[in-house]
Amino acid sequence: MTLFIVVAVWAANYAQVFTTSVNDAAGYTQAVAITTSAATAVNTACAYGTNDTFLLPCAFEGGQMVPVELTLGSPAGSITASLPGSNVSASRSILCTTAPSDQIVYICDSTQGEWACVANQANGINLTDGSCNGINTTVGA
Amino acid sequence: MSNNLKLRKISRGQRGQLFSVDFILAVAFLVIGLGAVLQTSAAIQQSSASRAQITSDLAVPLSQMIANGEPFIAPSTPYCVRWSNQTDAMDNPSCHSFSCGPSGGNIYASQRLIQCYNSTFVPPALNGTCLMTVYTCE
Repeated sequence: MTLFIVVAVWAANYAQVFTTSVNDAAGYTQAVAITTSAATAVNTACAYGTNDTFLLPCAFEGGQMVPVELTLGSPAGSITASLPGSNVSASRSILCTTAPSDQIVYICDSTQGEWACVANQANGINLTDGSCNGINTTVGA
Repeated sequence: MSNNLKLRKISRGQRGQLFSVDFILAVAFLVIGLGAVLQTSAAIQQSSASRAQITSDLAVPLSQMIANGEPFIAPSTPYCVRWSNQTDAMDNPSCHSFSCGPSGGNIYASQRLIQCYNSTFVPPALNGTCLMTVYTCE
């Protein structure tokens, strides 16, 4: 009986750890994709001095769209995408100064992605949810 | 006689128990702990593999900003700026051994033609047009 309980506990623990690690890895991959897309747009806008609309990838967990926190410039010189549901995050370097504590939180309206705007402002690069001036144009790589 | 036999049977039964409950529990917890460690290690390796597949375009905006003479925040990843005139005499030697970590990560590069005297990365003695190459890591 004791052996059975021990095996059952081990199996439950193994399944939980396995499921958690798979979810974390999937969440991390999505966070990397999101932050890479955002960093490319921000760095392009910095380098060429433009305001650009770009498409952010969606985040999924268990087949459902989940919220994403995208933080610009904190810590300085980086952009970070976090998935609170999976407790994972990924960061990329950005090259220009940013507006202080700039953050957007979004859940995609469609599987196509979420439109966002990166704009050159007086206090640095600014990131907002939705397209710039209502015009949707993807940023060239 | 029968009392002696009964006592002997009980005594033999206690000695016949190969593993105590405490021992079984200790082994079980060891196995559980080992399983958790192995799973965590596998997850970390999977994350590293995901990270290695991401391409970097950091060299492109960095070279553009240098060419424009714009101030920029030094990236957290290693980078190197190399310049050369036609004879390559003013090459930046520090870029010769540029590498992306001991495991040999990918190196990305982007080139721009710049006015040498207009760049803080080029020695003042060098005039004319320079070919600038920016190297970055992932």
